[in-house]
Amino acid sequence: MSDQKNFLLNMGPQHPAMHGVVRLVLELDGEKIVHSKAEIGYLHRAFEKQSENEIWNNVVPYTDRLNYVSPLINNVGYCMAVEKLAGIEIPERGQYLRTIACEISRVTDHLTCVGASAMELGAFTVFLYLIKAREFLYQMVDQLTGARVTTSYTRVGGVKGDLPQNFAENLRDVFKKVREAVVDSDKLLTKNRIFRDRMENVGIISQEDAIAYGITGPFLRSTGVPYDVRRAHPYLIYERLDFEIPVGAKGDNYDRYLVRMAEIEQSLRLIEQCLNQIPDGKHSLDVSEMKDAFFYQDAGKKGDTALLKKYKAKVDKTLEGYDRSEVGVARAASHSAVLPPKEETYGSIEGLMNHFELIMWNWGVKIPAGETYCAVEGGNGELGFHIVSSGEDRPYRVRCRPPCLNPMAALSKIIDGGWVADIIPTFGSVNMIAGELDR
Amino acid sequence: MTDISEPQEMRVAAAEAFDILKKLKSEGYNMLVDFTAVDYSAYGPSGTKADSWKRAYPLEEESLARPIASADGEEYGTPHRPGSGSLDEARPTSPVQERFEVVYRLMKLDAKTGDDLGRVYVHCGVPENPPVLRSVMSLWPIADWLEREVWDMFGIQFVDRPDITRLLMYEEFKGHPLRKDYPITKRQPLIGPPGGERENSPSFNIIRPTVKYD
Repeated sequence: MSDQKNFLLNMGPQHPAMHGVVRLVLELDGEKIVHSKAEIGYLHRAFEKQSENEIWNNVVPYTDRLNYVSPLINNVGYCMAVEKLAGIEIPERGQYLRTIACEISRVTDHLTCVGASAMELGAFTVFLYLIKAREFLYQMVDQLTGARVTTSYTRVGGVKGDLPQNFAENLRDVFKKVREAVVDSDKLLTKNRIFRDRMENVGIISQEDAIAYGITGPFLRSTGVPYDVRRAHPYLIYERLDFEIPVGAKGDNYDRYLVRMAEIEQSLRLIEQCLNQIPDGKHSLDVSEMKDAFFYQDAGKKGDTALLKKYKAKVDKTLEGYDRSEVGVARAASHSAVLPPKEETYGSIEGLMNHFELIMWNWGVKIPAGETYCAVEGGNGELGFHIVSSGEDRPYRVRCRPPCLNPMAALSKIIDGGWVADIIPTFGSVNMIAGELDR
Repeated sequence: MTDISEPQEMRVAAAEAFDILKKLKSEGYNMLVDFTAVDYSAYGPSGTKADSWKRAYPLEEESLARPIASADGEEYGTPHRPGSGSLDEARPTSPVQERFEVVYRLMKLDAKTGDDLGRVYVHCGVPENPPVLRSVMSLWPIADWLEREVWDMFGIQFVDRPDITRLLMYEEFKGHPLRKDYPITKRQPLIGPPGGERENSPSFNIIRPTVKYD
């Protein structure tokens, strides 16, 4: 036996049990892991380099692709960093809309993580339940932003549009279904002997190690540290909302599962509070006072420009909640950063000029020179954006602090000395999202 | 809940960075939240050459601190040109003398209450030739991967640590992509015979013309 060599095994980059493109090089003694090494970068798409060549607002669609199961948090995080540098304050209703968007995304993130890691342990039913619940939420995101996953909801200085009609009622209906799915999954998993045997006392990380590796989010909270950016550095309107920070005790996979399940409920509570508190944003502009945009053109050609001041133009709505009355309350009033509502673009020469100045190459939104770092609580932990501006219409440097890089760096330390089969639940609880890890 | 809205900012020289960070670690800054670099070699308005960091633009406080949100309630009728579009206006000066700047973001985390007891951002200029820093891997183990990324993307070397490999790119990759003199359109496909492609082969390192938007 003594002359038997250790066995070298490549796990990934393409492996059905590794959700995400990552390669683990394992040195095995039988089924025991002697040494392991994680290799990342298979989904590197040069997000940071590309951002330096796009105007400020055009970076937003790239942020959708960072953590693609919670894209809204990335949108909000990036725009908040830019606004911090520019000193833009967005209206209260816009902040509520962003908070609602963030929390919906956090729920979808946790549902995916719990569902996928349960499936890898054989609990396929749970996967179907939770993904179905996620799909209901995605439909709400679709109503809100116009897309299920590639949301691009935020703009520098606000959001794309206001809430669509009956959004609050529909969302409350969806929450009933989500809660049902979570309760059903809880019944199937939490006291399940097979599930607990695979999860409990597996993948343990100590508090000190977690802090030394800079781990944040549910992974850190499972070790008993109640650090949450929403509580430590309240942003948006989290100060006004009541929520609890669930923590674990041991820092094993089972604790991480419980923390995520508890956070789903907390996020749903947060959204319900937002829906109750959100200030009414309707302006008193009456639709009957508006006329179609071509009417102005015809009148203007005849020299009848007096109408321009009398009426506001009515334009086709490209999206629900995109009216002048609604955009005005969801976005900042800064003309140098925020596009005017479509009614003004088509209905007045000043609005048209303002629109073009923000759209034209080398004009656009210009953010004052400087440097900033702004962090929000992402699905996996502290999602930070470090932004450097040289006063141009494009970022000089955009750096994303990916929250799942830290647990991935610590993964080798966690799994070394354990069994091969334990990699699957441990890796599942890291919730590695290759999009944000490799950027 | 502790309100730390303004983190402490620090600028240190590359030679003494390690000692200061070690001192901060012993003062209780137990988490290295982020570590990254910025290449300031093209800092300034568009149209300047890549070596413009050497040119000293006059610093004007006004241009750096111009609020953009003061336009609240402003009339559309006034001719308005956002930002500093004109070249006559003051150009921003690079905040560092050296080509690169690295930023260590440290946090003092209370493990019991989960409070952030204070943050300090340590900025450190790194000269272009040679870009060498002392590794802080011995203080915070996460620095291993973060330093690998900075080496990968910026080519800043680290001493006092085990052999460094690229984090995101492949080992055969030539150059450091986040340096400002690395063209965004440059392609380095990892294909071909095992020994690598010959430099004069048609698909090796094709540099396509940059896109003109006007």
